[in-house]
Amino acid sequence: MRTLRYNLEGEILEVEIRDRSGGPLLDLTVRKETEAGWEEILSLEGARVVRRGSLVQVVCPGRNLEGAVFLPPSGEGLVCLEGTVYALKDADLARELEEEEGAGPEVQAPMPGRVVKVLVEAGTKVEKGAPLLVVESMKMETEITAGIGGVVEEVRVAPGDNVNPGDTLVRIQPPG
Amino acid sequence: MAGTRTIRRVLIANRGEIAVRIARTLREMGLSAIGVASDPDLSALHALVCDQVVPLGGTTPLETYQDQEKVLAAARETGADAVHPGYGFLAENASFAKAVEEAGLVWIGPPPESIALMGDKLAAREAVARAGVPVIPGSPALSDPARARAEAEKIGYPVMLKASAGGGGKGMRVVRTPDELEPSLEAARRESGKAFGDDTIYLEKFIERPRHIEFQVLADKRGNTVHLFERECSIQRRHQKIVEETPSAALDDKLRAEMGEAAVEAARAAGYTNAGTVEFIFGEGGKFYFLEMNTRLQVEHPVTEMTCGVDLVRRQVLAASGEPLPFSQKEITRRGHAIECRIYAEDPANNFFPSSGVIRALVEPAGPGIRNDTGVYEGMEVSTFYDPLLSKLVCFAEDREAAAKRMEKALRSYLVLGLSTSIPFLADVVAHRAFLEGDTCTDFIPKYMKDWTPRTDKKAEAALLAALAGPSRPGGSAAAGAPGAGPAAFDVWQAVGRKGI
Repeated sequence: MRTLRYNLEGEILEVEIRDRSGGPLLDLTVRKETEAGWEEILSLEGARVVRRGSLVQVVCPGRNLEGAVFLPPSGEGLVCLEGTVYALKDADLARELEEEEGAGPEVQAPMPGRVVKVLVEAGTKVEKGAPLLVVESMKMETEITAGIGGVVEEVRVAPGDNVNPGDTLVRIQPPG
Repeated sequence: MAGTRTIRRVLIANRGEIAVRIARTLREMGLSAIGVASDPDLSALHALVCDQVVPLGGTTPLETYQDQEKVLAAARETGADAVHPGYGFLAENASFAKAVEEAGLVWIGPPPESIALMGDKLAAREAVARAGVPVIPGSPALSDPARARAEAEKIGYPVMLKASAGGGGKGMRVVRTPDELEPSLEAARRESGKAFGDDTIYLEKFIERPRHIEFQVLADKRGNTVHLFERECSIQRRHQKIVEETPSAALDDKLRAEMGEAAVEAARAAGYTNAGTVEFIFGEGGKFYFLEMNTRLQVEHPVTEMTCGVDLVRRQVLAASGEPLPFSQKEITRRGHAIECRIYAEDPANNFFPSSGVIRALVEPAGPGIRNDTGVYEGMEVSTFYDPLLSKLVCFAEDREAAAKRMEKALRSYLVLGLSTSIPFLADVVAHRAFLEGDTCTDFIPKYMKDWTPRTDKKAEAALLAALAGPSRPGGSAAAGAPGAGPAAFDVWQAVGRKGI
């Protein structure tokens, strides 16, 4: 199984691709991030995927999707489907960019979830990008990393805590 | 007439889809197609489908495709015996046509005198009126505002100001009241002077909710002139056609025959030979008036080809070489319905602003009755130096409803990435209730498509396709078709089926 997330025209969408054992068929689910959590908006069972040049085709019983896809290594991309062009960004990358812009001493929860692991304690020296804790959301584990380097000043959560977007999880004291 | 001239090597003095389309017919006829290309066009599609290409050097139209000396020199150095001008650039330039003939080459177009006569809108109107073709009530050339006022009163408001040397909507203005006349006249003169180097303006009666209906004519050098029925080109943005079709939903057979006859008379009045188009303004109540004659192959000629079963470029070459027309008016028939959509590199959600860039992905529609006259390919860069027409999508079907449906489906399966195109806009035009009901007046776009935005109801599907196209992630298993997931490595020996390449 693998999961990919995109920021598509302002919506955060998650695509889950599950292999069926012993065959080329895939089960596919698309979810949309809402305030209440992840909402399933599309599900295809037993899909076969064919790529012809820039054309991607998904064939499954009762449904045939096709579109042209351009995905340069930058993490941004374009999809043309039924005449409309959709612009998308790798959502993780988009988040990293946002975090970098707004990186500060306070590390906040990016989504609602439950803390499963805390990897640092007060006094731990961390580099920028170092993993601090793991939050589980919709059965997906996400590592929360340090936006800046420094020394951990305070850990405000413990494993099992439920957190909401924007909650401060850890404070980091920048060097100097 | 001085018998026939042999044509073997034709220089195509054009670029883009029309140069490609002309080259295809020439090669089918067993003739050599010689192309010309500006610097940015050296690997454009038209430069790749010709038998030989002459680099013109330079970038702008004026220093390349519109440079008579360079184009003539290219014809001479390649041993061309004829020149096909396509449309635009030098196509309606009488002095170029004359220079081609004086260089001993065959001009695949009408006589220079016909081009000159029809290029002067006022002289053209007088000439066809003398031949009994209805013309819009209008004035002679005007410069004095007092005279303009008197003429406008005589014609009756609303009136339209037009540039004598005009085309493409430049210098055109609608005047509804006497107060607007003077400032509009000045503005029109400025605009025309800037665009055409000639600020001669005249007045015409303005027809409310008009349709634009034109007739294809074809004439040989032995005095035979026929028409190949009409095309309706009412759907326009900024006075530029974007959807064309034949037959027109507005004509019955009697009116069609009457207009066809008028078109033939207009061509005869101009001493016309070769292919041309007589444009009419069609008002409510079935009144029609001569608008102008285009002395060249028209952009939208494929809809006529589809319904009449005639290759107009082939007919042009044969007519230029002196061959007689193989059919009389009575023998020309047509069937079904054809629609053309012009696919421009432009952003329909942003005032049709031109778009440019590298075409990153291109999937063209296919199927019964679908023809795409294109000038581009995946990976090609589309520059801003020239007209942003990428291709013309033409659909042919048994009737109008079927053709419109086919066009909508074809447009929605026409996938282009890398630049904005008019495709999603056009798909919504041909699917519009008003279009399907035949309400195709020239105000269609402002009336029905004013606040258009593209449909974005397939976001989930778009994300899914991106996920399935993307490079596989570390740790994740590859989707079918991803690198490494397919059968064993490609074997060139097996693929070719023979050894020792």
